[in-house]
Amino acid sequence: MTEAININIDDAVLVEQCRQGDSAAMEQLILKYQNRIYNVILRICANTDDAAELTQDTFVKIIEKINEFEGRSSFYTWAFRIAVNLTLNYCQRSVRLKHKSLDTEDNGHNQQARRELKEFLTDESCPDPAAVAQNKELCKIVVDVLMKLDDAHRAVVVLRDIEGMNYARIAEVLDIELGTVKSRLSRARSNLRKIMEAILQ
Amino acid sequence: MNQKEEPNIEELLNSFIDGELTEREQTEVQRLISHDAQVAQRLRELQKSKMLVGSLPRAEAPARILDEIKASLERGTLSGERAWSEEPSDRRVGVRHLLVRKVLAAAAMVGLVAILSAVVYTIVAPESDYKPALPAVAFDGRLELKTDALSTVNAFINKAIEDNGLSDSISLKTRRGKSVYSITCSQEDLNLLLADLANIWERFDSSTLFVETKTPGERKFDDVSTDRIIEIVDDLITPVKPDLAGPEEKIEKPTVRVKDVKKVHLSIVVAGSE
Repeated sequence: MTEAININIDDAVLVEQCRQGDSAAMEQLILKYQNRIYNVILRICANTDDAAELTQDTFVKIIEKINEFEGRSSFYTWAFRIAVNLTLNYCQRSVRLKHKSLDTEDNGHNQQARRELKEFLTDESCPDPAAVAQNKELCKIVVDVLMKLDDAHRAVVVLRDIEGMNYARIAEVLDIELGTVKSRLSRARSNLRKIMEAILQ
Repeated sequence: MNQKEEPNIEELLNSFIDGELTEREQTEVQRLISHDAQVAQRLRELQKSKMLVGSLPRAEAPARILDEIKASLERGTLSGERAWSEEPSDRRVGVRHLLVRKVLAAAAMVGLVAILSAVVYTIVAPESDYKPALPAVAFDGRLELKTDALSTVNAFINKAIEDNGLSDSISLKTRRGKSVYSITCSQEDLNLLLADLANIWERFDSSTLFVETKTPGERKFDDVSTDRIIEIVDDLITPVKPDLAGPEEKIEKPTVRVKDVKKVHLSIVVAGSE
């Protein structure tokens, strides 16, 4: 399977123009990646305001550091590395807050959503992903389940299943070994399943 | 397939659904699935987990983000050269570049003189002078680390600094085989950096923390771990609690009043083991 992303050599041109102080090129780079970076950050931190702020910080840092970008990886990889590092650092800082919120928050999902999740998990046929996407309650359960994963596990799952990166690129973005990507993803998906089953009990 | 090299079946199934296997490995997994109902069931479960996450709707960045980035850059977050401008003319860019080049040339001369002065100072300065002039801080300490893997450790520290976004809060001096990282940042940022450094702590043969105290001199803590350092910094910064442990356990507070400052300073001196 190829990566579900579109990387082209225009990035190198835009980066070079940014280095020359071309604000139009900066704007193009931001417009090109802002949705994908925002989406990945949002699925890791699960808060729209924080995700917007972290996306903003990511691009400010990208432009600040653009002269230090050596091109050893693609701009796309470098940009996502900055985004994910900022987000994981943020998650680490907010760890006390998060635990508090999980302890006190009533994560009870409505019966209908639980029933649909159960049907989805037990259905022998291949359910339609588009139908899942339209089911807001079911999506809320999935977001909550993702947030119960360790930050490191959640990051790997989001980069693979939401951003569509291949293992090699995930290894580059997170600066970990390929074998670590495989083991983290395996443990993360296994934990996802366990958490969902626990919700259904 | 060699048993020792055979990957975990879970990892194999995950790689299968992610299309990360070679053609031969895919064939082997397909054969496994067709012969083992349990493996086939597990594969379906993993596919569904993947599908559920992948089905989450794609969120779009708020429309205001671009404007906020521009505003942030215009506010002077960046240097004048990189500041955002809406004036899209080649002439403007050309004129600005000429101006920038002139300014940079002048700055380079000043910088060169400063660097030469620093080099001369480095050569003639006494070895114990590791402390730069600092603003008032709530904690001031020096961490001396010895290792026989100097380059590996320095590379890791540099990466941890970069990862934690502390590049602007640190000055680095390298002298006579020692690297001195002078860090002035928030307590929280220091804790995050120390948490990262815990991953290479086993590479240090010794780790000693010296803390500036109220009375002249400093207090020494041998064989400290990163957690212990975090505790010590925290003890010094947080308001004094009722002294239940008695006077022997009390760490002297720094000279600066805590309420007035929030920054902490730590010099990390990394040297080769003798």
